[in-house]
Amino acid sequence: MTSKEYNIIVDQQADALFRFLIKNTRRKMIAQDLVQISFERLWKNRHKVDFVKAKSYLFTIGYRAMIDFYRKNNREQSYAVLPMKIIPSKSGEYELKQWLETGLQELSKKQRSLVLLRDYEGYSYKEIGEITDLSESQVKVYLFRARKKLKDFFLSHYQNEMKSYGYT
Amino acid sequence: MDIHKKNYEEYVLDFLDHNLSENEHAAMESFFNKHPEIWEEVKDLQNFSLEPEQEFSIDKSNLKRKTKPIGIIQIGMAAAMAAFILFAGIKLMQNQQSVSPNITSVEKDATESESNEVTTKTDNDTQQNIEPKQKGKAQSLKTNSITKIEHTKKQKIQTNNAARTKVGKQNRLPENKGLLANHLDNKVTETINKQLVKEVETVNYNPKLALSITPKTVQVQLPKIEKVQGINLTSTQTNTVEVDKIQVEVLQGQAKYSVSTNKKASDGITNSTQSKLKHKDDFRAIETNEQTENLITKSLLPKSFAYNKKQKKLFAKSLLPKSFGIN
Repeated sequence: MTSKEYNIIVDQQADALFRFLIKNTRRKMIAQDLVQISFERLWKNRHKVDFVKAKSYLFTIGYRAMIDFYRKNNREQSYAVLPMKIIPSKSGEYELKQWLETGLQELSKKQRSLVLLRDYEGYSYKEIGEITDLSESQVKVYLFRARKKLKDFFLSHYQNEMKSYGYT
Repeated sequence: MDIHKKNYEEYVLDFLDHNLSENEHAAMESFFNKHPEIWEEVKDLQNFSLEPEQEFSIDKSNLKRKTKPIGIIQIGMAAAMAAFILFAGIKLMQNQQSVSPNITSVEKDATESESNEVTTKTDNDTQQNIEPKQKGKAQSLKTNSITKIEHTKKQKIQTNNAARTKVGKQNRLPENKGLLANHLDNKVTETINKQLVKEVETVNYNPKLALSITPKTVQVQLPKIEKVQGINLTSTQTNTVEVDKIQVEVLQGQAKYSVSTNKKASDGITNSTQSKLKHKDDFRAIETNEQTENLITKSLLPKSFAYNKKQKKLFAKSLLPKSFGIN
């Protein structure tokens, strides 16, 4: 990968990686640091990385950097995280986005990463397996369970919402 | 294909995405027919999708790298650097050519010493052992940084008692263990690689000069010894070994000698005696003959070689079978 191609990857993938990391860590500064680390490593190894596979390689680095961060910071709970409480909007409707955010936080770290990689970033099961160091079958099972969990979460909140409006 | 409750999760997503083969799809349908409660859970996931949010953005200027081609200024600077290096190299070469050879020597006569110790001294110490005529020459070279010996090193010698019994007292030299030299394993070995060949100078019968041309690798040709003259062998005189080449490498004031032997050794040499030479041998100092300057000024030879002062010849005693003693 040339320097020019590296800069193309920055343009194309920096925001996506940042989104993936901030959704997982829920901390902007940490996500920024992890993005920086990931691109540093990509730059160092640019001669070994093919341009076509650079995106997958970048997310692999980012995912592993995030795992390292989790391991080093077991006191994760003590950090101030972005508020994810569902707040009614002025119109009285719950923001779908906030629901989704809260639902994602209900998932385990691994499930959350897989959902984001598959449904946000559009990676194939095989690519997700390479990024997360899982087999393709494991990826499918984790993803299925994660989606089921999200569905149950949305359903339960929807039902509670209906009850609050007097619907049964 | 057998799909059951323990493995159906692997296939659900592919089933919903219609990525299964016909057989697999049929098997899944059959499974869901048997377990409608599972199908109730699964069917709502058919249209599952998440829309990625576009609001996340990061400053990319810190992440990007410069890809500009090298400018005229950089080229100019590179050219200036190259010219400077070239100039410095030429100057250095000129300085080296103007330097006269230096002389180093082992100041201690091994045969006189009972303390089994050889000391290699610095330039200053060495000069004290050089005759006045040479001393002036050596002093003039004192400022030559290339030929300066940096440190003093004492190394204890371990004599080989077995060797003492075989070699006469006049030839019994102390051994010096652990020096840089490597034994040549009874082979004529080219230790100079091709790249260094140009720097090699062959000096006949004047190892002094060889030693002075530091830090080059130098080959010193010694006269062939057809037989070990003056040494009485208890058996036949055919058991001699020729020593035809000694290679000297001087680096940072330390001499590294390698001795090549002619493989046309006597018939009496056994495998066992040859194998001895495959080990790294101890080394021994050989006496300097300052006046004649004929042979070895300073050398550190494997213990399997001895130097006869009177004959000014080198012989490889340990190549001889044990059954042949040397008186």
